[in-house]
Amino acid sequence: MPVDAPKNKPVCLTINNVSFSYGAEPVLENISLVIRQEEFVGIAGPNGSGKTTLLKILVGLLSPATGTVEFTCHMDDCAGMSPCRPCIGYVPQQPVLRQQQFPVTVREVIEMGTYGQSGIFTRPTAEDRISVEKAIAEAGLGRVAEELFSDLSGGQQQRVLIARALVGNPHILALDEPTNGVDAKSKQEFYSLLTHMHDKHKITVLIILHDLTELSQMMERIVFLHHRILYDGPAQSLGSRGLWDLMVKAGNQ
Amino acid sequence: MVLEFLMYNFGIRAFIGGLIVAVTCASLGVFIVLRRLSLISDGLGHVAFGGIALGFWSGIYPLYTAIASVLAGSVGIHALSRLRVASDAAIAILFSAGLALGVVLISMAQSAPADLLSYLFGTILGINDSDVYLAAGLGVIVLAVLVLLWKEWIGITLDPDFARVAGMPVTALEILFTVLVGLTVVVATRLVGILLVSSLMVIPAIAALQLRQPFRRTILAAIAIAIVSVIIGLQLSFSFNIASGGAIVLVTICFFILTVIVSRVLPRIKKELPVDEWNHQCTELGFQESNESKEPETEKN
Repeated sequence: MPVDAPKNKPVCLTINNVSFSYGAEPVLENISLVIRQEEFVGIAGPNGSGKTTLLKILVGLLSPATGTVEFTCHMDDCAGMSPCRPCIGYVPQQPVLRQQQFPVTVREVIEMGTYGQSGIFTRPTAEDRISVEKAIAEAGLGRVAEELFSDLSGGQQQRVLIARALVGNPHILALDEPTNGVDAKSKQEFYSLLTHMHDKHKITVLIILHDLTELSQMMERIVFLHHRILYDGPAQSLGSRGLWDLMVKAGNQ
Repeated sequence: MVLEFLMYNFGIRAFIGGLIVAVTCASLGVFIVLRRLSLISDGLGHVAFGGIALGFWSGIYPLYTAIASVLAGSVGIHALSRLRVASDAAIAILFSAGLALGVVLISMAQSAPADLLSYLFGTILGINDSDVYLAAGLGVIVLAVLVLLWKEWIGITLDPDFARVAGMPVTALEILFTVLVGLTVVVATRLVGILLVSSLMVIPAIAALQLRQPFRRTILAAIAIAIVSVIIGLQLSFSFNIASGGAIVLVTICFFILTVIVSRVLPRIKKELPVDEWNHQCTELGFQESNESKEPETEKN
């Protein structure tokens, strides 16, 4: 880290003038972004700045009030779909799965990642089972595959959620504050896994983070949001000091 | 004699009807409890009461009006949630509306129908062949939908947002799930009564969840607890001439207490015993204790 910038890569995701509001309160105003294939993008901003809302619009959980989201890479996989389901792997901020003690094993959680590929009324195929095994092995979860998800540490749970998001071979991985409440060692393991997945599978990574040091050190590009885009550019030229200044500026607005 | 009620036709009918209801209620119950909708069966039970009263008042077979009312109630709960009424508040409104409608319609009759009490408290030992056929028909439908959409139920239960991103029609599935619960409530009402139907749905599930097993095993454990509770409850009812619905539910509560003890006490014994002795005791009891080392645990958050 930081990951090399793929400037010559094709555009994968185009966000055109997206606006969204909860009631009368505008959350996003005319957001436009172009994300290229294999980019590693950190989305930053103060609480309530619209980061999670933007990610939810990208993955199709919310519809924008105005504007469009277009997936323009791997078009063969996306025919007729908006959002492009096979395109997206999603790791939510605080899934219900992490809040409750569900009687579900690591393997059963990762199997959920195959659901988007198969239609309704279908059973997992042999191919799905192979994908699950591969994801378990790649995320280093072999020894805990039959353990209950709720028995794992926070860091291990995040690895399981990443494996679940990647089991369907997505082209874009969207993560919402994945290192929240995770200790330093687990954070390190998490970033190693993410970098490995990014390098090996050539996926585009969009990640919301709060930690300014992590953002400046781990990301290649930063989009700083406070209802509008205040900064969109290389992380290195901004640094944690520059990010801090943006936080102060957003706080004063 | 054990299971002496099986010597009589009414006992055999009760046994078959009880098994169908036990399997259906317990399977749905695990999803209900995990989705934190434990009161939904109670709410739909009271909606069914309104439907049954409507049947008595209008002269239509009460179970048919009960089915129609729970279908309307299932859609009503989701319609209210779209109006930003919280799900527990939506259930409370349906609960009150069903009960109030039932009371008003019964008060309009000259006298309370004699059969009404059987719907309130259940008469599993008094069910007829057509009740068993209806229970079997609805039970098969509910279980078939449950099995066919297995991964969809797992998805909307464990992580609805992830299920949406995966392209599942989450809202339609939630409505269908409520309809399945409603149909099961109607079937179970005739057997254990409106007032106890939610107990048969959620208590075996809560008891099974105490055992902290993987998903499929938890559902099988809930079904086993419900079946054994029905059998023991029926025998107690037959032997001591007590209300069968109440006896069945009390047995499920005994199972809940038992599973709480097992799940709390066994890990403590395991902690206190040296590893070798624990493994030896497991082998003696016929259990195989996994010695596979876990990945080193980082600080639990």
